[in-house]
Amino acid sequence: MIPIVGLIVGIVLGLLFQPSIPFALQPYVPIAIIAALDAVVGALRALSEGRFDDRVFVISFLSNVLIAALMVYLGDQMGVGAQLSTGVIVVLGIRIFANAAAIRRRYLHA
Amino acid sequence: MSGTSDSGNNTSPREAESLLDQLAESALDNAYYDVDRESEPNGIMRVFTLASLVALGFLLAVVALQSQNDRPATELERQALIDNIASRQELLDSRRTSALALQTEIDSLSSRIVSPSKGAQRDVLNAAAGGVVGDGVEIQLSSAPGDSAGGLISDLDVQLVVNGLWMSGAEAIDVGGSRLTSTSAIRSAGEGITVNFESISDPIVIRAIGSQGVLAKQFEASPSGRYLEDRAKNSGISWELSEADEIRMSAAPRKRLEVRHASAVKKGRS
Repeated sequence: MIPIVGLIVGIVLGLLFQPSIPFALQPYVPIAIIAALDAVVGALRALSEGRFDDRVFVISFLSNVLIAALMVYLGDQMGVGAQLSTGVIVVLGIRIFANAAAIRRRYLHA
Repeated sequence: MSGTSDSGNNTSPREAESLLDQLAESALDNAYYDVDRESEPNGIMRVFTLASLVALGFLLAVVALQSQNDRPATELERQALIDNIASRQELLDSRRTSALALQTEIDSLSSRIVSPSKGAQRDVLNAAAGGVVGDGVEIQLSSAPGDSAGGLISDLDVQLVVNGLWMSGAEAIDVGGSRLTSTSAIRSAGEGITVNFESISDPIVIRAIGSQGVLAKQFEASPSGRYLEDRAKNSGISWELSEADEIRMSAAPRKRLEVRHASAVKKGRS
């Protein structure tokens, strides 16, 4: 319950303050969100399996976001542009779907 | 049911080969499996968890807002471009219309200039710059059958006939359908004859507009007529002069009417 409240609080804060993202940071945000989503879906699965742990979640969340941002930055610096970001999105996307599928299997038996 | 066992210990070579399988297999962070189940929940970490989620929600909201706010801008830009295209199109249309109107005006003005002036009209006729119609005569020249010497109609024959017709009072002449003007040349090119650089085929029809009776009589009496008579007798060519009503001739080819080097002399009263 508390995590959902946290999410909602974050959304409300964002809507309230409406900060604009600096142009230089714009390419990082979508990747960071995907990475964060991966951590969240992983946490949900762990929760469903009764293995959730705050420490693991926080660390995986932060490291995911940081590494994803680093990949984008590297891709930018090496001049390959969006290609590295695409790779990151593919890998994270597969993880998200796999975890979501595990949760689905557990609760919907499908 | 969960399908995932401790994948950290799973090292079958098959699995190592398949990157995607491996990815799906280890989708859940291994750390979750390594955690000591018995440890008490850590309060600080719970706060961090919350903070992470708040951050995620915050980011989501901000990005959604940003893209929502950016859309009107791009939409505006697109609309401006579309408007621009439309206005240019309109401009083009109006220019086209005005060009058309001006062309019509030019036509009407030039026709007003040309049509009342008898002199200009006569100049056009004389220069073969316009089509003409009138009664006149028609001369048909045919080469002699077979391969007799001099039996072919030559450029000289045609030149002489044309000359004779001018002499007899012809006002307009065409040879094989090609109208003669002051710069027309009649010459042989290989086997054939060209007039105005267009080749003419045998039998050659030469038409002249003028007073029918005078033209026929004068031509037959002229040196050209006598020459043709000689040619017919000696070389076997055949020619025939007939009167023709309402001969229609087109203008001389445009190329022959071009004047590039000559310019008109300013007329003082003489």
